Amino acid sequence: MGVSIEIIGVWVAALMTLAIFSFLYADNPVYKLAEHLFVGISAGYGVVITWHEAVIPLLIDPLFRPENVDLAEPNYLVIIPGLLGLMMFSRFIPRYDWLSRWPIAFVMGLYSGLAIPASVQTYLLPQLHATMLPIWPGVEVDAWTALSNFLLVVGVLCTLAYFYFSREHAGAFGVASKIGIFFLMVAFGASFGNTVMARVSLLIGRVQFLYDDWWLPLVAAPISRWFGG
Amino acid sequence: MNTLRLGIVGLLLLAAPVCIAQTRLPSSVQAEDDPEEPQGIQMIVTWRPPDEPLQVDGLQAVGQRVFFRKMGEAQWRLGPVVPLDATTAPVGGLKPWPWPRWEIGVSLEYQIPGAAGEMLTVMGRPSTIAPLPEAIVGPVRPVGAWFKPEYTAVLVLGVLVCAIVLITLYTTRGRAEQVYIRPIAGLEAVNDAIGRATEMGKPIVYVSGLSGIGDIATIAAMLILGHLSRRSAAYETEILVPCQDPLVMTTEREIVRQAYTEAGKPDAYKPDNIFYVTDSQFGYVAAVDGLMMREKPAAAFYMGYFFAEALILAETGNQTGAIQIAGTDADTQLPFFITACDYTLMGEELYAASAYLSRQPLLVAQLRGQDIAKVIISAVMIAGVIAATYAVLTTGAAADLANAFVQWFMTE
Repeated sequence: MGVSIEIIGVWVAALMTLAIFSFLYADNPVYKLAEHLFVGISAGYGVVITWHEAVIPLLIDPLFRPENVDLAEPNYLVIIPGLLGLMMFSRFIPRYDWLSRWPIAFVMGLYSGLAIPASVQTYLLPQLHATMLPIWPGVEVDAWTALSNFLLVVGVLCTLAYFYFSREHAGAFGVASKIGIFFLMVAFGASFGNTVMARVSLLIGRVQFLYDDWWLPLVAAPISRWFGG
Repeated sequence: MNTLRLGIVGLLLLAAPVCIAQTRLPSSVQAEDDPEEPQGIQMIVTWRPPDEPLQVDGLQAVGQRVFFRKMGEAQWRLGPVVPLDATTAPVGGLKPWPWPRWEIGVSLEYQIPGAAGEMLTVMGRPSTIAPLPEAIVGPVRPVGAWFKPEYTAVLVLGVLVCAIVLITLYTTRGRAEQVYIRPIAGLEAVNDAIGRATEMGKPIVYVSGLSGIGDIATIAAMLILGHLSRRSAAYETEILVPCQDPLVMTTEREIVRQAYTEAGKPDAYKPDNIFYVTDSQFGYVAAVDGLMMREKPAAAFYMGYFFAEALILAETGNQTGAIQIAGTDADTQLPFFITACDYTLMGEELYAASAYLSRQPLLVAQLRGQDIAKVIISAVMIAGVIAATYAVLTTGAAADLANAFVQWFMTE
């Protein structure tokens, strides 16, 4: 059997998987090797991706090769983010490292501002609308739906009560807050079970890879042939 | 009179060949802004299709192709292909604000018979791709809408919440110390965790999530780190901060350096304790897991936004015996932190943490403002529930009005 690059790839993937799994027993040199390879390769890969996916198409091409990004003439506006990016390198010159605060402040301010309408549009309003439900049977609303809606509304209001910070959680307000915690824990329990199922699926996928792609064709079969099976 | 009649008939006869002349290429192209598309990146092109498509030797006309290019550009860009009898097509993918001017042309699309998939575009003249001047319109430009009526609710609610917070900020900041903030167990335990690390002589590991610096959870996590650093600097307890984002790392170095300076221990600050690992999710997790198993920290903090790595980190920290305090607004990861950590700040508790820990007037006033906004939102919600219930119990104008109130909150 010839050794192809695919076979080497499967061997490397399988051994690295086993090396990472060895952490389940204890921290050990094999895990350390895999960890350092993982961190080093992913950091290097990140640099390459940033260069090819961000620096070249968003800065170099618009300035010097506009035809590559479908522009008729250079877009000089990209000099501004380019300069902000360069300011980050001032960290390496202690005398001027204060310059790096400007791009950080710019990014933080920008995203904080963007977060306000985005939160209102994607969280607040949809959840408000989804909670405005009829809680009494009527046209196209049967008793069970009405009860379900009622529980939903109570759950939302009580959970909001739990997240009210500037008032003591005592008396009726405290009861509402406790009901809110109860609803939260039920939701977390459901989410926990759901995610655990997904994680088990991931593990099954990895074990299947080890068994089908590595163990059977690359380990068991050659051993079997070796013994004349 | 007869002479006049004869003259009119004569004129009609003369005009007839012009009117009934069969066109062989698309003509009379017009383009206008698509009123349904608010960004101003799409135009609707209309034209007169050919009555009898121009025949080209060895080729078969299969449709009409829309072309477009920015004014001044030499090359045409390919737009949609539509059937031979189509009279209109949208041209999308134009540039948004400041909405440059475009030229739009329409011509025929030919195919070599039998050569499936091998398309050849002939813009009027078989030998060239340039469109005929009669089939070009321009300069034209789409215009975006400055205000989207369907987002009115977003604007109103956003302004309302911001206004409440700002007004509360203005009215409360002078008496912020009088504002009550309910105890948050996870934050009460922060000082215990620092004390434990100090007594054991072991470091604290602080993970500020795997989101970028623009994430509100990361900003909240950095504020908590500032408080934690001040306390740990006072006790000269080492704090290790592995970072997944270079910008977050740079900011956290500034925060920790500032905290050590404020604590009067600038020389104890070690910039190398706040270090970049990798931006790969599981590469980062592998490194932090290894770090925790080797350093055996006395306390581990996980604050910020987390993804699938939440349980792996918390479980490893649990194995090392560290006291663990987590805080995240990632609702899918909260269950894992709750099960694997000693204390967990849930959702908005993470945002409230900085106000709770620092008691800074500005932050406390913000927290108070958010609480007032919550009360108003709850009131609106109750009004919506009453309206929705009323709408299913009755009919008529009042029910329609109630329904309209509920629908007003629906966004795309």
